Amino acid sequence: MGLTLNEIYKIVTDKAGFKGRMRLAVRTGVSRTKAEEMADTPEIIAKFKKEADEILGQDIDKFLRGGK
Amino acid sequence: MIKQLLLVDDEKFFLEGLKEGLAEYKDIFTTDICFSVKEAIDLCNKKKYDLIVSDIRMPGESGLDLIVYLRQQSYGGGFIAMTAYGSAEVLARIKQLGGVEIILKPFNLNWFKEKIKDFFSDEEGVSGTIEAISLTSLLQLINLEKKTLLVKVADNTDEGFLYFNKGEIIHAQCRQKIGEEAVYHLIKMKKGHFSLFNLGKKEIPDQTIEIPFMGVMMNAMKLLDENSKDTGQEDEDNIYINKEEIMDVKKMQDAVDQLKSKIGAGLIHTAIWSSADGQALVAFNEKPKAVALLNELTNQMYKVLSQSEEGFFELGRYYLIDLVKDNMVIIIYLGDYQWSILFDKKKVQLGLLLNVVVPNIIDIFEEAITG
Repeated sequence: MGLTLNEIYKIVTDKAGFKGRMRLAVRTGVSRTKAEEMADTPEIIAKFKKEADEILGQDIDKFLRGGK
Repeated sequence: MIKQLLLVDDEKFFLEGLKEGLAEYKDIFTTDICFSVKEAIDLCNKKKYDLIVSDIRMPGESGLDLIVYLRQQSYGGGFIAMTAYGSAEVLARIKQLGGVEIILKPFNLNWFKEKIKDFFSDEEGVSGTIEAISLTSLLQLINLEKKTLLVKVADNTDEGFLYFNKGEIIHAQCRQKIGEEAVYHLIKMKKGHFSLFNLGKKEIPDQTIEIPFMGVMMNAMKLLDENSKDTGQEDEDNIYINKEEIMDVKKMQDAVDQLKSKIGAGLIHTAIWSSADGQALVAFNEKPKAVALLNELTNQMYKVLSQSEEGFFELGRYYLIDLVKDNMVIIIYLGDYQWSILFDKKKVQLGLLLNVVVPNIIDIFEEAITG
């Protein structure tokens, strides 16, 4: 459950530190631990990707396994 | 400016005796007396009093009726209730009305004279309008200065009181609302005026607000934000509290407690603070000067690194400072917040701290900011 969301969290933390991670949590309203428990629905993934793109300043698809 | 005092009691000789005794302070205040609530209301309609001292039990309308009337009229002065019938019910009712001091009869005349004199000399007399300075800014200033004060806030319909003890809001009252609920109600005021009064130790009320000042303000801003969304109006008093990041201070305290339990006696100090002002939101073994210094250090480091033209890298998740006497401090950089952990290297394994404890406490911190 929440594998992609968890991966997005990991990438954002690696690339933008805890500052980036906290922004992602606040903007999505979903903490990493909650994301782990959530289903990877297309809607929630799209929302996470959109926020992650803005935080990183680049397309997160480049870093996701399989370029999801 | 000479202050104005009104004494209200149906015991004529008692009141005349008080007036005579207070005459020696005529260069500080003048004293009017009257013998019923009706007369008091007539006088209040003609003259502005800085302090009213009234008996509670009188024939006809009671002193409680007078307090209620004055509240409706947005009376901005002080009120002292005298009563010989200190029943729990009467005292509770007076307390409920808020901002009223109670003295029990009989009392010594000299004691009473000193009390009235102290009231006028303790009064700071600082006042202003909420349009000129936002209430949130004023409260933050009191917090920063660690003042022990009573803030009286009033507009055309409401009047309320915020009690500060060493910069922390410990109690608030507004109509029937008490505690945090009253704070939120008062912070919503866009117009009106405020007055500040010094608080003596004996006047500090029972604590009804347990969470730290920043927590109260953040929760208040969250409610204001929700309110502005409901009404479609933007809140202009946003100050430096980031509306996006309203946090649950209790959960933040949980994160600190978790850290304490994980590293035990090796922990010397820890604090989570706001990057905007270096003020701790929660802390264990508080060290405000060190926190302020670390905050400045991080902010400078972040600024220099992020603007580096040499292609250097931005600050990542944390940095470590090795200190003498086997101590070390880790600063976790969380953007708008930072977290310092000062520990004894002999008692805490660094690897365990960075790879197990920190990820765990960051998860809890994150829960606090997402609510």
